[in-house]
This record gives sequence, structure tokens and C-alpha cells, in this order.
Amino acid sequence: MKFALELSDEFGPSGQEERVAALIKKELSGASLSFVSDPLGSLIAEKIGRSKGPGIILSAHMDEVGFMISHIHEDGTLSFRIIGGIDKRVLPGKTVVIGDGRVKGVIMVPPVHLSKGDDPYEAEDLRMFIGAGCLEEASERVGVGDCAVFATKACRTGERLMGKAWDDRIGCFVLTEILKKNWDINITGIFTVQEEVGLRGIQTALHHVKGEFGFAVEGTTSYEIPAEPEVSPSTWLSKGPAITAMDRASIGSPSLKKLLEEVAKKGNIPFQYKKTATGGTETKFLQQNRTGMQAICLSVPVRYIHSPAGICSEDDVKNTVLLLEKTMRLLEAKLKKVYGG
Amino acid sequence: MSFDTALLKKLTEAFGPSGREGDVESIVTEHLKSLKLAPKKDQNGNVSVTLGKGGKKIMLAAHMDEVGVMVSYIDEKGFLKISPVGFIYPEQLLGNRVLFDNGKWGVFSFEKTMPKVKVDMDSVFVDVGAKDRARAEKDFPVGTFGVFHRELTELEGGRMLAKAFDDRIGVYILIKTIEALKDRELKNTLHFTFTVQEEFSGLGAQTSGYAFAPDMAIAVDVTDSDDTREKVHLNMVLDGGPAVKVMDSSLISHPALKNYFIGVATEKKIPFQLEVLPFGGTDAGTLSLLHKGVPAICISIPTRYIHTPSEIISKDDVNNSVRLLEEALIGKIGEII
Amino acid sequence: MEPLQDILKKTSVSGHEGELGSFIMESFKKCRLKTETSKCGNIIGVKKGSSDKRKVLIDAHYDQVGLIVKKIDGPFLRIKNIGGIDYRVLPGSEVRVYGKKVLRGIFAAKPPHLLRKGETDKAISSDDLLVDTGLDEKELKDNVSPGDIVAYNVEPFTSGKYTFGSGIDNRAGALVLLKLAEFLRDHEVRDTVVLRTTVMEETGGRGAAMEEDFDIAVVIDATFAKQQGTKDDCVFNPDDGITLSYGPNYSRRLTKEIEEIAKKHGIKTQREVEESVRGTNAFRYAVLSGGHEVIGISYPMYNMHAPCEAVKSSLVDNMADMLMHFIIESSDAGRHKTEGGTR
Repeated sequence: MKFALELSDEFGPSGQEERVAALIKKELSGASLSFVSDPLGSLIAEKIGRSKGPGIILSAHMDEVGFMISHIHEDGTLSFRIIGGIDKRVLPGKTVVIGDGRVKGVIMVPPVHLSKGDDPYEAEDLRMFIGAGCLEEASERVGVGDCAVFATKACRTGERLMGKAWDDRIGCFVLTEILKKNWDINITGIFTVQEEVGLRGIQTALHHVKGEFGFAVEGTTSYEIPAEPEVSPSTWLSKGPAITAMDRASIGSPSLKKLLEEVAKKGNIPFQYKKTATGGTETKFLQQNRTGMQAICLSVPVRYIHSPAGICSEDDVKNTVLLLEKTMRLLEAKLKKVYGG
Repeated sequence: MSFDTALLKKLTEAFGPSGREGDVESIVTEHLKSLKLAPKKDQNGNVSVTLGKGGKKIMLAAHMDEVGVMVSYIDEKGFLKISPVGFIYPEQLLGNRVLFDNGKWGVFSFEKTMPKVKVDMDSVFVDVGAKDRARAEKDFPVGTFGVFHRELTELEGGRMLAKAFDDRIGVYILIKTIEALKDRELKNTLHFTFTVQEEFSGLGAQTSGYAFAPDMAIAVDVTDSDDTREKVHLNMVLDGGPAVKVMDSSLISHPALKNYFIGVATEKKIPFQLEVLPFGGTDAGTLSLLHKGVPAICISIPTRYIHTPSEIISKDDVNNSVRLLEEALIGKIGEII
Repeated sequence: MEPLQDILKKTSVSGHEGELGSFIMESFKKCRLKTETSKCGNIIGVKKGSSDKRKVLIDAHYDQVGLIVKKIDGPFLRIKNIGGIDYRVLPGSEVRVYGKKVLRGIFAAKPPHLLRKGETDKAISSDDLLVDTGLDEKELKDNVSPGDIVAYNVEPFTSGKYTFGSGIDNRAGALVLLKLAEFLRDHEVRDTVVLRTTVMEETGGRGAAMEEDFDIAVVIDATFAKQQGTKDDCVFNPDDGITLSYGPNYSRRLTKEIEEIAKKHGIKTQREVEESVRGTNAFRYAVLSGGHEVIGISYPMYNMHAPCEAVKSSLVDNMADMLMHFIIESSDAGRHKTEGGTR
């Protein structure tokens, strides 16, 4: 799990995922894979099996939500825009890391003694402070267009993992675990870019690959707090991987849904269904690639995604790898019958 | 032309929300087999049959799915929260019955006791009669699909009332077009596809269209009939004939195809109307973007109260649509582009 | 600014200042000051002067704002603030919970995917704020009880000319006293100097309300830097230097003197107006016992009481330098307060 923590800590807002890609490539360097990077930056890792036909495609996105510096003010503070979806109400007072220089700073908030009213701070009124007293000082260290992410350091807490980017570095971690194993069929892992800004990376990456079955692996929403019993918690922590029957953009393949359920029940692997249909996943594009393939999304529940820190369960992560591998073994046998090997 | 009410009744009353079109697939497949044709089904459930060979590759598409709901959460008292599958109006749900894929029933209700409050999806729930969460979870696990259920009924003046005319009426029209053309000499390859998931993601048209790679595409679907209100915003009316789509938010029909259909209708004296819909989209929009782009159009059937449990169409419009398609497809369509 | 980062790593939430307190105590002892801890946690280091007539108290409160566990609700903690905290900064903030062991935690924040329309127009109410430690209910109850302290968890860092971290208010002030202790270790003085780090300022200046024997007091605290969302007349540009307080509470005579001494040594100062009475230590000292002359000096600081505050590192050094010069050069040095004349 140490690698999962490293993944979460790496800098990779949508559009600037190179460091995450490099980290994954390094981790998989001994796993006899061939690597291709597409022009947008998605990393495609292919394991060529003895079986010659199309195999299984797995996708997880490398990018995380973050910020982009939009203006440097005379007093050295920075205005910024949000990349991806972040509730403006989690912004004030949080520490951030900016740009290639890894400049640290904080999103400013006026002292409680001087601020009036209860309205939430608007994102456009908030500024970042990097310890620069004027425009010149700030410009030496950051530039307009630099990206930033929350500065959270990942850690374990009890049996759980806390970190800033489980959506979807935990999916990336699951993929690396699967890709390290031996397979007789072709297995393609796609580590995509720009998912948080409209599912962009997966669309181009899929042009470079072929497959018969697809799995998108996500860190998905969980919100099981007692204050809002009326709101569906979406998923629960520690109750196993979540199967998505439907999200905003796709309906999970019925046959893969059934297969996952059967494998889980037979292997006594806990599983649950994701209970809300909000949020789109890469499943849509896996399903609609060329003539289409059977595809579904399997998720690790994460509390508080798109905030400075999320929490997920180590057991859920392990069970996701287990359920995915066992299901893929059945598909492997099926594909070998058809295509040999 | 005789009207096959029995077939249309079977089609509209079948269970088939996006993602679970199996029952409709069977009805279509059986019917095509009874015509001595050999329909094919792909992995996503799209059903297709090809007539003729050579010439231009022309794809015709009508979608088998209908809007519905999916169980997303079960509360402690055993009430179901639902997510819409496709676009539905929350306020149209109240008091309606819902039929689930397990054959069981429920009723849509609403958390406030009917004051004049705007209904949103969050406050709608389904009562299946379960006494508690455990009981409801047993029969209606998260992911269970449901649809409105209503029988097809004949109304005054040659009009009909049913659920899911969107787009089972398109399915019906394509089947009748196939019947009319199957023994005729054809100059082009006509690929009739009954698609899945149009109401949700356009998955069926996207994948089957990619596989067939048509030279041109024609969708058959419903459109809004705006003849009930005092203030009319749209051009389409019931009994006005098939609507030749000029534009909706997913497609600007290829001008050559539009002009061709207008020409055929005028020449053969088939009533028609022109459709400009400032919202909505059909499989034609999806098909038009495939590969390097596909000239596409949609022939629409004016329909009242689309996406509600009670949609109304005119039998004359349906018969005229079949005639228009038949004449257009045996004509010089292969030479226009 | 390593020393400040070291201090910021320690926790001293009002009423629970022990972790930092013992560090200050050790440092005072190392500087051979006569040390004393009051029952409530004030830590005092005394350097005896040669004249024995005047006692100068230099005060900095060393507590920080924080939070406390109110209730354990399933696997979550409900919390209440200690000191003034804008609840709007809490969702998504990281914390440390001081239960049987120290736990990491995060304030729950709803993912945007599940937000209802219009929900973000309202701030999250304090009733809905929950801390999640990742522990399940049983484990949590074994480790945490109501009344346990919760502190912001921000790893201190330096960026540009500034030091960042939580509770700079007023632990940067405590650092000034530690620097003075080192100065007093190596220098003899005429006045007796009493360095007093006080507790519970954030909950109403309670540490300063306790008896202490002295003649004049210099109080070090944080003040507001000019930033987005503040009005110009009560905030200060850190580049313009240390602020000196002017107002009914403060000795105009002594404040002008320290202003002159700073100017002579090239240390920048600016004036801060405090026209009315506040609940800080300076106001307590002025009226304590028979009354005292008080000087108020402050460093302008960003994001006061938010999880991550920021102070210009050089201000802390400048403050220590200014006070060293004051101790040596003050014209009153060696005079008893009753000889002090008018305010």
C-alpha cells in the first residue's frame, strides 16, 4: 500500500499528469509491459498474452481536481480558477502546492474578527498567498497558467487510508496490481488524463487499443454521515467494491454485472452497488469504442472525494483487486477458447 | 393500408427501459423471423436485418428502449429512491404505477402531502408495499429497472393512446417498411437497425452505426406535437403527416436528404410537415458523427405528451410515414449525394 | 526560520498548552533564568537586574485557537471551537485528535456529485460539521472521549519570505521571548526582566489576569495583515514593520520611546490604533492590581485563526532586536514606577 500513498501524494491536476505517469511507469518497470503515451498524455501499458485475439481493457484516470493561477495581483497574491469540480466551501484556509517549482502557499481567509456574515466565500474572491509581498516577487516563483493541487500528505489512519487524490489514484493502484500478474490474454491498462474536466483522456486513448471486455476502475463517492439520513450515502466504506449499475452516462454491461456478482458470491468477496447515478465515468467510452465492448465500472468507495482529503478502506482496495482478478480469470478462459493460446 | 394494432399493442406494452431491452428484442426478432428474414443481434442487443445489396449503404434506425427508472437507494421504511433512466418529468410520476423487471409493482409518490410545491426527483419515492428495508431489498435491490405500465387504447378520430410510443412507433414503422420492401427489387443496401439505449447514452446507434459504416442514415422517431396549447411554438401537429426533420439540438439534417424527402412526398401526394425542434435529439444525431461523418435525417411522428405514461399519436401519420419511407427507399435515394 | 517551524509543530490549544509549555520551560532553564510555572500553566523566566528598582514584564501568550470533542456520533466526532474560529474554514480541513493516541482526521465535506441544487449558496452550519478519523465506531470510542482536544494539522513550511503553519498567533510571540532569553543569558541588565508566556489568551486573556509582580509590561501579540476581505484602517502591510499600539490603554510615553529606539536602529514600525477596550492580555495588564504602564507591539499576520496562518519571518527577528535595545537603552531603566511621571 506504500505505493498507493505515493500515488496520492504525487502532483497531477488535469492537464499536468506527467509526474503521475512517470511514477506508474517506474512501478511497472519489471512487469514485462510495453508502454505507449498518447499525444494528450495518457499512459497505455500493454501485456501481450499468448492468446492472439482482443483481450481486456482496464482504465483508471491519473488526474485529480486542482486549480490554475489566473492572475497575479500587485500585492503578490494570486487569483485562481478551479479545475474539475470542487465545492467552493472547502477552499478557504487550505494549503496548496503550485506549479513545476512546487511552490507552497495557502488559500487566504480574512481573520474571523473582521469577517462579517455567514455567506460562503465565493471562489473568485479568494486568493492564494505564497509568501511574496509584491507582484515582482510572486512572478519570480509562479506564473499565470501554473496549476496547483491541495498539499495534503497521505497517511494511514487505523485500517483506512487518507489522501488527497484517491479519485482516481486508487484506481491507478488497482490497475498496477492487476498488470503485475501473469496473463495468457492481452491485458491493456489505460492510465488516462483529463477525466475530471469532461472524460477527455479516455476518448483519445481508446483509439490506440482494442479489447473485448472493459473495466473502468474508480474511486467513487461515499457520504455516510448521520446528519443527512435522507441523502443516499452512495456507497459505504469497508463493505467491498461497488458495482455501478448505472451512472450519468452509461448503464453497466448486464452480463459483466452478473459475472461480478457471481464471482463475489462464490468467492465470499463483499460487494455493494453504487446507490446514486450521478457523475459520469469512463465506462461510457469503453462501451462505445468502435463497435463497442462489454464494459462496467468497479469502484473503491472514498469519503469526501474532491476535497483536500478523502478516506478509503484498505480492505476495499484489496477486495477490488481480488474481485477484478477473479472475474478477469473467467473472461481469460472464455477468450482463450475463442482465440486460442 | 391496414393497421396492425395487435403488433403495436405488443410492442408498446413490452418492458424495455434503456439497458434492459430484451423483451422488445424478442418481439422484433420473432416478427422478422416470421417474415422469413434472418435478423442478427449484437453484443449490446441491437437487432438488425439487411435488405438488398450493392449501391449505397443506407442505415435505418429506430430505438427499442423507453424512458424508465432505476432503484438507487432504499430507506429504512422500505421506500425506494429512484434515478431516472432517460429524461422524465418528476411531476408526471406522481400517482403513476411502475412495473419492475422482476414483474412486481409499485407506485410513485412524493414526500410532501400535495401542496403546490415544485416536484423534484429528490422528493419522489416509490412505494412497493414493503414493510421495511430488508423486505424491499430482497425483491428490489439497487439496480432494479422499472417503467411506467399502461395498456394501448384506441381513441376517437383514429388516434391512439399508449406508453412508449417513443419509440416503439418507430420500431413498428420500420417493421412495416421492411414488410413493404422485402420482396421488391432494391438498388441499394438497406440496413434496418433496432437500437438500444437511445434515451440514455445513444450507445446502440453509436456502436451498430460504427460497425455498419453507412453512407447515409435515417432515424425514425417521435417529435413533439405542439397543437394543444393556445400559444403554439412549434410547427408539428397531429394528423399533419410525417415530419421531415430539418433540425433539433443533435442534428441539422443533410440538405440533400431533406430536399429528397420533400420531393418524394410532394410527388406521391403524401402529406408531410417540416420539423424544427429547439431541443431534443435522436439516433440520427449520433449516427451523423460516426467515422468521417454520415449524411443523416430523421422522419418523425408527431406525438403528444412524450416521456409520460400516456402518449398520443395519429394512425394516419403512422401509415403515411410507412408510405413515405417505402417510396423514398425504392426511389433514387442512392443518387442524391 | 527553523525555530519557528519547530514551535509550530507542537500543540498548545488554549487550556492544553503542556506540549509547548515544557519546551519553553526547558529553553528558559538552558538560558539560566530563574523559572517558575504557575498553577494554570503560565511559564515565567526571570533575569535579575543590577538596580533592582524596576521590573519589566514582557508577555506573549503561547496558546493557540483549536477545537474540542463535543460528542461521539457513530464513527464521527462532533466538535466545538476553543477561541474564535470561522466555521467556514473547517469543511475539508485536516486535524489531529488528542485521544489516547494522536489520530489524524478530516472535516467531512460532501462530494460535489451529491450536492443538491442551491446547496452551495449556504455555508455549512456548525451543527453539520463532523470529524472523520477513519476509525470505526468501537475503535473510536476506545481512543477518544468528549473533551479531548482537536488541533489543526498543518505541516509548517517556509515559502518566500514567510513562515506558514497553524497557531502562529501567538507562538511567534513565544519565540520572541525565547530569543530574549538567549540574549539575557549573555548580557547583564539594570532592570529585572520577567519573561512571561501566558495561557488561555484566546479564551479571554485569562492567563494574564493572574497576579504577577512587575512595574511595566510589554505585550507581544499578532495583528491583522492587509488582505482580501478586510478594511484598510485596521489592517497593516507586513512590509511596513512591527505595529505599535496607540490608545487609552497604552502608555504614550513609553510607546514613543520604543518607537524612537527602533528608528535609531533601522527597525521599521507603524502605528496601530486601538481606541476601545478589548479582551487581550494588554488590556488585562493595564488594570491588574494597582495598574501598570503597558506597551503593545504586534506583528501583522495573514489568515488569523484559520488552519494555516502566515507571518513574515523577519518580523519576529526585528521584534526581538527592538526589545533587546529597549531593555538596554530605555531612559527609565533603573527607575521605580512611582518615579515614572505622567503617562
